[in-house]
Amino acid sequence: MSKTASKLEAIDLNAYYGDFHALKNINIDMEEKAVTAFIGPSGCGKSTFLRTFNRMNDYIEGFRVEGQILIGGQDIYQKNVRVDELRKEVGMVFQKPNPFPKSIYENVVYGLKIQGIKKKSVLEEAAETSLKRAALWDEVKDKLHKSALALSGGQQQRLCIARALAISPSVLLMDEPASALDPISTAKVEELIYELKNDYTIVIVTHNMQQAGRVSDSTAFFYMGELVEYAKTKTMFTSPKDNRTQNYITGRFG
Amino acid sequence: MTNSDINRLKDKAFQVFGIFCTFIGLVVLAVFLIDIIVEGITRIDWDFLTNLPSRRASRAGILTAWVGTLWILVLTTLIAFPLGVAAGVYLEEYGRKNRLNNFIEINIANLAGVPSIIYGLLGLEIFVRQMNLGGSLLAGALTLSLLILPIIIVTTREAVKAVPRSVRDGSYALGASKWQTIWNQVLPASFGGILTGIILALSRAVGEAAPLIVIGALAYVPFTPSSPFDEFTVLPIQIFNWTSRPQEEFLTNAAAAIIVLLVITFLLNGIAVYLRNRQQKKVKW
Amino acid sequence: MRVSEKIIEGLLWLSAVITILITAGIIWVLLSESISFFQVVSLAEFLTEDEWTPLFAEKEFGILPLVAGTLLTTAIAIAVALPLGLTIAVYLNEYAHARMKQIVKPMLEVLATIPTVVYGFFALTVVTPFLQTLIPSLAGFNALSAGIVMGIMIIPMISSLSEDAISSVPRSLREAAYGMGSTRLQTSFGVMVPAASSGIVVSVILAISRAVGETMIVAIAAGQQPRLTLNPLVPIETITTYIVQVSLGDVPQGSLEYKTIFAAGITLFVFTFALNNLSFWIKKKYQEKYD
Repeated sequence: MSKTASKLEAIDLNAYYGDFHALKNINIDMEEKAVTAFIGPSGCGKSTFLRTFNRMNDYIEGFRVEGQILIGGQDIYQKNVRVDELRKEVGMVFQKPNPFPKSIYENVVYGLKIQGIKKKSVLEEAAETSLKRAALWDEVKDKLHKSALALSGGQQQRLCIARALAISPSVLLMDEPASALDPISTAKVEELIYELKNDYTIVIVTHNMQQAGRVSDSTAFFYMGELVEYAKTKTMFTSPKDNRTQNYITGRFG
Repeated sequence: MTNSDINRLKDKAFQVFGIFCTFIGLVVLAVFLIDIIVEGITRIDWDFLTNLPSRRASRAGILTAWVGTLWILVLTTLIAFPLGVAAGVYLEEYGRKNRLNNFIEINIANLAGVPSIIYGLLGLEIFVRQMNLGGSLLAGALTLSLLILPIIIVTTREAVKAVPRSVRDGSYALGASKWQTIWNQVLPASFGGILTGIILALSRAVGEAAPLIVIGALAYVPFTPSSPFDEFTVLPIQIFNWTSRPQEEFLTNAAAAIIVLLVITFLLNGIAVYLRNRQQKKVKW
Repeated sequence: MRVSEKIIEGLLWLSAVITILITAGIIWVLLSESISFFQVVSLAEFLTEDEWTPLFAEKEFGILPLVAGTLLTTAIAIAVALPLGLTIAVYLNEYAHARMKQIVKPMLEVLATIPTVVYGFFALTVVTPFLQTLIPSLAGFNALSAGIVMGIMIIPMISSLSEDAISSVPRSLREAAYGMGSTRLQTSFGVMVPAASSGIVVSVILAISRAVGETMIVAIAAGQQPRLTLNPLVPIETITTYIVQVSLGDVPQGSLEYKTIFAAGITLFVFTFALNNLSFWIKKKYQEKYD
């Protein structure tokens, strides 16, 4: 996989949890180095869809997909694709900050360490760069070896972003990254997303309509496992084509 | 008196009875500990700890017994720790819901309920006779390892299960493999709980006499063991032996040896409780 | 990378499978030695003869005296532990302050951590002499004192497991009882204990299983005289004590006397196996009912 080819596509994608048809015939083509937001009511399949791009659903018993997920033109559900290689390209940030119960430093370099990189200078440099990119460096540079669990929720989330950046992915998946944070921390994370899109292809799942409006270039609306509408964010929010989209973004359900 | 007064009276009476029952166990425990200490404490001195066993009660010591106990503890840990943790990790992290794993789980619950003396019979046949280890430390440690294996497996599973999914997800999302995730994240995060379980299991092993008697551990060993293949005795067997003798002086010896055994047992339990409390305080997910 | 992952998984799997081998080993060892025992002594004789004297010149191989001794000490232990344990469970759950419960529960559990050989010493040197002042005819070795001490040892087993069962009864049930003006006592025994009954039964069954297999207390304090009696005042012998007695002696390996301990062992194993599985069965049934 080459670094620049970070275009995300889904072709005729269907996904199932056992008998439950979670994603129905999804076709989408996302822009490189831009932010795409997935919105929709709970249980609409947006998180499931997000997690197909780094195959995090593989661990769920009974889960299977049909169709194709292409990253930079390559189908990542092919047998010869190695999941660990894939995830070096596709970083992920979760809904609740999930730092490892280790030091701040160990959190950031973990991804590199498991790739077998042991050289201290390399690790330290990567830690500093990533923490700076995640706008956390100034707050933690004096306590790198303190427990990450002692940080505030907002700091923990930015640490998780730094941790994802440390392995130099080209795609960042964010699953409601600010839903567990206070408004000030949320603003910081959003600002960060805005900056990061210059270098990364970002997909963000969110419940928060304003947030989608603030950070994303394009928006996809999911409902009951279907991709109902996909358009430029501005277009979608001002003149949605589908009734269901209209109802959702004006707050009539969800 | 109205019906409701009678009911209230009954309620009060039961409360008093409840307090009585709750404390009767503790009072018996206290009486017992005091009795042992009064009887045995004056017998404990340096000679008692460093003398070999003897037919004369006043010259007999527990050197071989506590050295044997220490050997057994170390060997049992070396055998049961890796085996139990590995099995626990497998069942919690890898084991899918299928017939075999279901059977393994029921089987472990069953093993936990098998009387310790039955493990003695197993050890006698397999380790002492078939593997020709005789009544050696190794045979004893292997037997006790099997005995405490279910405890270690169950506590390992609980500790591993307590590590939240989000930590695993975080690790997988960075490209870690399953084993890398277990080794680097799950095991370190659950280590406190696993350690607690192992120490509790050891405190059980340290007090066992029956299975070791069955595999042929001796009551009288004139030398301290120096290799895993040597014959041995342990504190509980020494206590049993002295308790079964008619002379009063040997009972005093038994009481003194009991004090030593209880110190070891309570120490192990104390460490386990301390670790558990610290773990609960430290980790807030 | 992938190969090493598979190897590790294989090793872990092997560790888990060893537990099956342990069970298989136990059954194989007990069966193989007992089968050659039963080739000499008929199963009918073993189960119906009322004397057990394999170590004497005139040998009789009736397991009943050992079974009787085992059941007698177990019955006494449960007679002590069940009322005490259940009362403690109810008291801690319904009456005691949370703080008191927090302190008392671990203290009671200390009772379960004391090595059984220590309890044996206690039974022989403290409890028996004390009981002899009340019952002059009490023998120096007897089922009564061993049983009582064993009962004290298993109190925490019953009290802890029963307390867990009672406290897992849905809150709404208890509130409903209080809402109708019940006292704590009426709520406890009218609503909570019946609702938690299967959990309590499980705790008692596990306690019985534990008492049946208990060795050192009875070996020290109950005597070594197999006797088909329900009299708690005289020396008896349990299955476990017999195995210890033979192990301490100089019975040659492979002899018929040697094989008797496996015949005794398989009898013990059958008892505890049945009890344990009965408790699993009740537990499972109960869980299905509540889910």
